[in-house]
Amino acid sequence: MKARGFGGGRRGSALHTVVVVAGIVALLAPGALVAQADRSGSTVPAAQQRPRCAPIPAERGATITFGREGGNIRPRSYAIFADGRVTAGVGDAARDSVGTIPAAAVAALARLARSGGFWELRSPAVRRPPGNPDAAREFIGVTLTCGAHRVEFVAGAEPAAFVELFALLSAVARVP
Amino acid sequence: MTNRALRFVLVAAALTAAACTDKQSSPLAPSSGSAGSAQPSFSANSASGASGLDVAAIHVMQTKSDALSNAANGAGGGGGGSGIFYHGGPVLQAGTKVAAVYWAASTIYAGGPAAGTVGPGSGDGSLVGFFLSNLGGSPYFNINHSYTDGAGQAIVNSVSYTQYWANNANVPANGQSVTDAQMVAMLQAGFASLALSYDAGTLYHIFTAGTVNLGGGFGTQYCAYHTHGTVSIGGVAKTVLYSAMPYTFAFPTACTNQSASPNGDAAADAEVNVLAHETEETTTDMMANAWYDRRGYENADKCAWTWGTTYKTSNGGVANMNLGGKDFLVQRNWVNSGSGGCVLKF
Repeated sequence: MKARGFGGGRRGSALHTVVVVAGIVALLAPGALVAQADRSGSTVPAAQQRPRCAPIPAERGATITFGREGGNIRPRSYAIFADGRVTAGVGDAARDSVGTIPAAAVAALARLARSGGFWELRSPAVRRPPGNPDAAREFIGVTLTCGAHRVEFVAGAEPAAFVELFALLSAVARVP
Repeated sequence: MTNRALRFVLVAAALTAAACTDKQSSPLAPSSGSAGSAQPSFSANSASGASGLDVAAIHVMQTKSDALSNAANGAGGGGGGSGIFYHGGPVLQAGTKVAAVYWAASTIYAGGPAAGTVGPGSGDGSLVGFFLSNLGGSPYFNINHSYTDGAGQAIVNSVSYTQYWANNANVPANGQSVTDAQMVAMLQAGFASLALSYDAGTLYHIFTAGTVNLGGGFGTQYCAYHTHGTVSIGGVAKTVLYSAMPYTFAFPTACTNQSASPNGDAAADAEVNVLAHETEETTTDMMANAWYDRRGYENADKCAWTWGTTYKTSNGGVANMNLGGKDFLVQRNWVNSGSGGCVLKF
């Protein structure tokens, strides 16, 4: 089975990361912003729709956290700050620096999280162990100036919007 | 470029990058109750197909009484304020019996049974076998004694390693995904050939070598798991408890603690950690309807990959407990006493 993001392994090539980060930065282009508005059916550019919705300042914490927890596999989490710092660790203690990405890329990721379907996702209620009680839960949390949103799903049972964003974040953070 | 197209490009690039970062280590070695009359009563939630296999057994329907109990407790059944709740299902109250099925073309763990052989647990000379033979009665396994069955009887601190089967027939290849149906079919073959003795209260641990992908999510979604299926014994459908125990050392980043091996056997030392996890969970939640918390976490889930106080062993390894004279580094387990917590002994 192909590892989607976690799973252990050698780091991807620098070229891959450059491609991904460059692509994210491209999201900041005015055309992309308008396109987002078009996709949502609104004629107002996204930047104007949510003018105060931005990554929280780095000194207030991470803009994005994601990773896995629970089940019978090593937990791992990553944090991406508004200033571009990327840290790794376990749970909320993702403090080991693993790299830096452009601050503009963080803003673009935040925008994508806000408008790309992630914000509409809701964690399913868990009333008893899932199909495989030892499967990890994968989570993504995004904290912006206009609010915060966090969801988690049992690994292997995530919706497409979650999978896409998780894969993107994993690539940006160069998750081994 | 539209946003949708742009997103597609981004995600494609991300997936490409992720796909190229998948790594599997080369396996170093191709290496794997005294409960007496314990006969747990099983909930009737297994639907056998025509094949006799219960491939959907890991999905558990909530009973009405459970639902009412959950509602009254905010999500869980009994259990007080310990942070884990009882939901009415069976447990291995009278003790835990285990069997090892080494499904490989050759010995998986050093000192283990030769391929194609069967025997009692006492004949398994591997570190995995040693661990299984010395887990019961320990202060560590006594943590499970803090859990009860539906009648309030505490689980007995006992693990009996009754039998092994080093099955070298139809061995899955490296990287091959093996479904639950295939695992149950393999067990069924063992029961039919008498290589394995069937017992309703025995947990059959299925070990494989290399990167054999038991269940399809090995190394990415889990490192091992427990569940149950249905086999035919004398023409009668019976529930069989089993765990998928892939070779965790194949995924050191995700499935090992990456500290120095206390016994100089890194593969087996890594395996016993997840082995303890599955044994404890099966003991207290054999059908996934007994003990778990509000998030659906079973006892060992709540403490996975936490170690408590560790110490250095004579060979420079790291351990946190001694079982039968050997040091091991094994995750803590959740104690169902007081306000609960992750502990190494009880």
